[in-house]
Order: sequence, then structure tokens, then C-alpha cells
Amino acid sequence: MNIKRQYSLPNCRLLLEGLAAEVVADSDLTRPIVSMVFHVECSFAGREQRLSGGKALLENLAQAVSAYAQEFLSGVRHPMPVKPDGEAVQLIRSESRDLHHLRCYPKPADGEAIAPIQIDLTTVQLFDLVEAIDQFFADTRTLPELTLQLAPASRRYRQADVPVVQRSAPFLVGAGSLAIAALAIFLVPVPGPIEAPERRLGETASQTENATSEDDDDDESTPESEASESDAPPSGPALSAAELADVIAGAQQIVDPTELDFIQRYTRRQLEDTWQDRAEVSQDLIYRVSVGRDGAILAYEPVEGTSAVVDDQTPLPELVFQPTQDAPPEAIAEFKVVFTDNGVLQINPWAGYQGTPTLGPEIDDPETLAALGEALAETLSERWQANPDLLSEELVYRVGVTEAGAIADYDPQNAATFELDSETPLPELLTPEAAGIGDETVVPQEPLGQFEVVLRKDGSVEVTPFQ
Amino acid sequence: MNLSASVSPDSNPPSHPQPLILDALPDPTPVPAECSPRIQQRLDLILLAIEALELGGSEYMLATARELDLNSVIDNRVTLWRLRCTNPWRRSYTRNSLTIRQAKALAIIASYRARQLTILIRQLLLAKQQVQEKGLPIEQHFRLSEYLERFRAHFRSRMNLRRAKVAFYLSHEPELNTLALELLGQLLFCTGTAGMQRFWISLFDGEVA
Repeated sequence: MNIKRQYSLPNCRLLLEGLAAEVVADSDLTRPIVSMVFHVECSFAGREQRLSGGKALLENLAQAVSAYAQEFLSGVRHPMPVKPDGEAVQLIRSESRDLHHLRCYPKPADGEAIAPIQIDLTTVQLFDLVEAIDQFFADTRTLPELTLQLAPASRRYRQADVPVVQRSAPFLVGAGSLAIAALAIFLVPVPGPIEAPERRLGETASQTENATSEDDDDDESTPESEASESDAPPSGPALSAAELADVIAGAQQIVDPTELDFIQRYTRRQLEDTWQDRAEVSQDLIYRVSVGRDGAILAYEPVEGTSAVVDDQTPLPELVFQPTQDAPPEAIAEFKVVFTDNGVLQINPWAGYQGTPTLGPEIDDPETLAALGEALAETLSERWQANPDLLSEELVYRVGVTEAGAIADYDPQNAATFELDSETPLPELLTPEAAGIGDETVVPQEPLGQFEVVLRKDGSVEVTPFQ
Repeated sequence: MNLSASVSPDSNPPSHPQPLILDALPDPTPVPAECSPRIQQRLDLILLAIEALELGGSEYMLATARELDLNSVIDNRVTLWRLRCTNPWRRSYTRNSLTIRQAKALAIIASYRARQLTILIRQLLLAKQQVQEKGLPIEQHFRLSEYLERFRAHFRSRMNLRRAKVAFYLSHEPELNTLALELLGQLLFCTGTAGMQRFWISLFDGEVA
């Protein structure tokens, strides 16, 4: 029995013709299952051009459209496996970004290639096409073996940030979704770039935008009250690249080894947390990084043959804060930071240490320390669950605790621990503000009890005074 | 279909009962302990776009959380605000990370709100297309210009000007408008039959091995 199934949206209609499986007794009540499709037609409101073909077109169309929808959402390319038979379907985002070219390469007839069909879709039309496909996937009475399968794209396909100044430069990045028929493969043009909204705009350290420093007064007030100020440009005097360089050059260098050490650890943590695509780094990237007293990265400069072009492989552009003329940094710490090609972060004071860093003010009363140590062991034991897949050795940390028992500072003591930080209860328990670490300084203002904490694979926790 | 599914059951069931709606979204494999700053940023921005679409947007988000039985994840306005402050662009950025469960709850709320606003979202995107085809400035359309104005106001009042990207957006209004319009497009895709799943999985694009 021939059956038609139609998925209609305001701008798009997907029509399938096929055969039902055997007619079941209660066919009056339930829609029969279409188990074979021999004709597929996809048409758009107000367009003469349409796609038509067999089941292979349906599969290729569904796959290309589904992958492109994901690209549209995230800006990350979804590679498509090559399907050898049937019409190839491809979607390409147009340069103007507001149109989507749907291209279909018909099967060559008698060895002669047929010109591809191209239909330009607006975003709403594209969405209706995606929705028609999703309704088909969700329909369990039509080709029930075809269902929506979604999987995130690998980080291999994530593009590095492109700095604003380079945006006009040509760069070849694949973006279209491709389901390619073997014979049509040479007809396929290079897809245009798609960029994620949040990564489309990069910036460089020398950027000269206005910036003001403002208090944290984030409120969720109503739009009316905010709308009036919406068109005012950011106020406050800008620091030009040259001014910034002057300020950095003129700023007092932080030499106190303890403060330098705390800023170094704070900076390392920021960088470790934000450095995502470590595999992209193919050679050691070396920077001179200037950091303020509050731990804000103020400027960075590639050195020792490192090219500024690769800044975006590092988390530096993401992290840099712009000082203003209102509040120029009075003192800075400078570090040599190396992002190595094997994904390791190295950071050291540019001019080395003048003296031995301490851990700031310390609690030394033995009774208080004993009590704090016990409380710390208890807190950690409750929460520590070793993941045997990740843990090959024990994790050793130095942990600084306030008199009230809050974990205000910690630092990995063995190499394994940096990457496994998030496996431990420590990040969740960390409250630096309990020791006065915050907006002004990264050095604890309250005395801390210092402990060595060993987290073991068997779930046990050992806490001893830090030597 | 040749795309492989990466769906696995939740390996660490939480101690309190899991809101059923969270199961509508698959866990990425391997299940990350927490979300990346990029994911947190995308979630906060899509919610910001919703707030620019409807007055009282954050109240509707809380109401939606209650309707969907997500109280155990988002119990009040402060919690919602804290979760959103995991966006590194925020003035009140906390350096905390979202758990997968919290991220799911935000993605679900965004998608449900978007679905309620389907007609408006479609109208605005059609208007944008028409205005642009005629070569007119986008401010010509009252409703669209209202959306953009509110989005910019929200962005300005909540985001940290000392972040270079935020400063860039705030001094380049057309770029900020483009961001608002891209988010509007993303919201449209959230309204579909599988919109919620599509949006959720897309958050992990470029985040997995």
C-alpha cells in the first residue's frame, strides 16, 4: 500500500512516499508503519526549485541539515562522513551571514555530471527545514530506524580566536556540512567560514578601546530602568597601546618574594583553568606577562621568537584586563610564561626571586593547628572519592586554613595534581575571601594554618602540619 | 545515520531525587565534572537574550523552573543569579563552575522560555530579513530596535568592562547588535521539536576529545 507522509512548516514541506509494512489488524486505529521510502520531495514556500530523490537523498539531507543546525548553534564545524551513493547535500553559510545556501548535487546520469541545485534560505526558512527533518526523526511510524542522533563535535574542529585586526585576512576554514557522493566530490566548492558569536571577536593586548573600572553592582533590574543609558558610549579615558606601555614601564615592580609567589600561583591557576586547546600548540609559546597586584593580567608580549599570530592558542587574550587612566596599576609583577608544545604551563618571575617567599602570616599555636588539622581531615574525607581511572598516584597539596577553618589557599605539590584539581573537593571548598584575598590583593591578610594534605587512591586522606 | 550517539546514563546519581526533566538531556561522554567557562558564557548570554525579549524575563525563568520541578537545582532568584555569574564576562564573575546538572537546568529553562516566545522570535527574525533586504537600518523596525536596545542595556549593566571583549562590544554597537541577532537565531532553533536537545549538545561542541 502506497502511503504519503508530509511534514509541513510555514516555509518548508518534506514529503515522503513509501510502502507500509504489512497491514495490521488495528490499522484503523494506528497509523501504519512506513518501512520503505521510494520518493522524497523537499520544497520551500514561494520557490520553484525543490529537491527530489529517493531514500538516499532523505538520509543525506537529514544528516547534512542536522549537522548544519548544530554548526549554526555553536559555530563549530561538524565534519560529515562520506556517503557513497545518492545525491550529495551541502549547506554553506553565506558571506553576509544571513543566508544559508542549500546545495544538492544530483547523481550523475550516464556519467555526465548534472548542475547542482542551489536554494538560498533565510534563517527562518532554514529552521523550518530543520524542524521538518526533526519531526520526521521523531515520527516513530515512518522509517522508525532513522532517529535523531546528536553528538558534540571534537575540539579538533574548534577554531582559534581570530583577532579583530586580522579579520579581513583570508583564512581557509571548512564549515559546510558535507554528504558527498563519490562522483560529485570534485564539484564541491570550499565552504566559507562560520564563526561562533562569542569567538568571532578576538582582541589583542594593544587594543585601545575605552574601558572603565566599575564596582560590582550587578543587578537584575528591569529593562526600562536601564534602557535610557543604553546608547551612552563607555566613559572614562582610554589607555592607548603606547600609554599602556608607558604605564607598565613606569610601574613599580613587585619584588617582595612572598607577594610575587602568591601572584605567580594565582596567575598559574587562571591560565591553567582557561587554557583549553592545548593540542593546538605545536611549538613552545613564550610570553612576558604583566600582572597587577590583584592578579589581573594587564598586558602580555610574545618574546623569544614567538609570533603574535598564535596569541589565540593561549588563554591570554581571554584573560587580559585593561587598566584605565583613572586607575592605572601602581605596581606590577612580571612573569615569563611558556605554553609548551606538550601542553605544560611554565611560569616564573621575569627577574627571578629576591629572597625566599613565605606563605604569608601563619597560625603557629599548636593547639589551634591540631584542631584545624582534624577538622580539615574530616571535611576532606567526607567528600574525597578517588576516581581509580584517573588516579595513578596519590595527590599531595599544601592547604592554608583560616582560624575559622575555611580553606583560603591551596597549592599542588606534585605534578599530577594540577590537572586532577577538579577531581578533588578542594576547588569547591576554596574561599579565599575568608582570608581577605580578593579585589585588592592575592596575599592572605589573615594568618593561615598550613597543612600538607595527601589524597589517596583508596579514598583515605592524610593531614599533617606543612613543613 | 552515521553520526554516533554519545549518550550514557548518569553514573553518579545525586542523593536527592533527580528532577525527571533533566533526563530529557543526554550526558556528554565522558561526563565532565563541571562546565567550561565557554559553556557558562553561552548559557548566560542566551538567557540575557530572553530577558531582552520579554519584560520580567527572569521572573518567568523562575516560574518555569518551578513548573518543571527544577526547584532542587534553582530554588530562588539568588541561586539563578549565582549560576549565571559563572559567565566569565560578568561583573560578578565568581570563578565557580556549573555542574552538568545546573547547566542542564539552565538549558531547559532557556528552551522552554524560547518555545513560549516562538511567535515573537520568528517575527523579529523575519523583520530583520525584510529590513535588511530593503537596505534600511535595523532601527527602522520598532520591535526589533526595542529588542536590541534592551539587550545592549542588559549587557552594559551586567558585564565587566575590564574584560577586553566586553569593552570591545560596548564600544562597537553594531557588533553587539550582531551578537544579539545571532542569539535570536539560536533561540529560534531552541523552539523546535528537538530544539532543547540540539542546543544542549551544541554547548559541548569543541569541548570533547
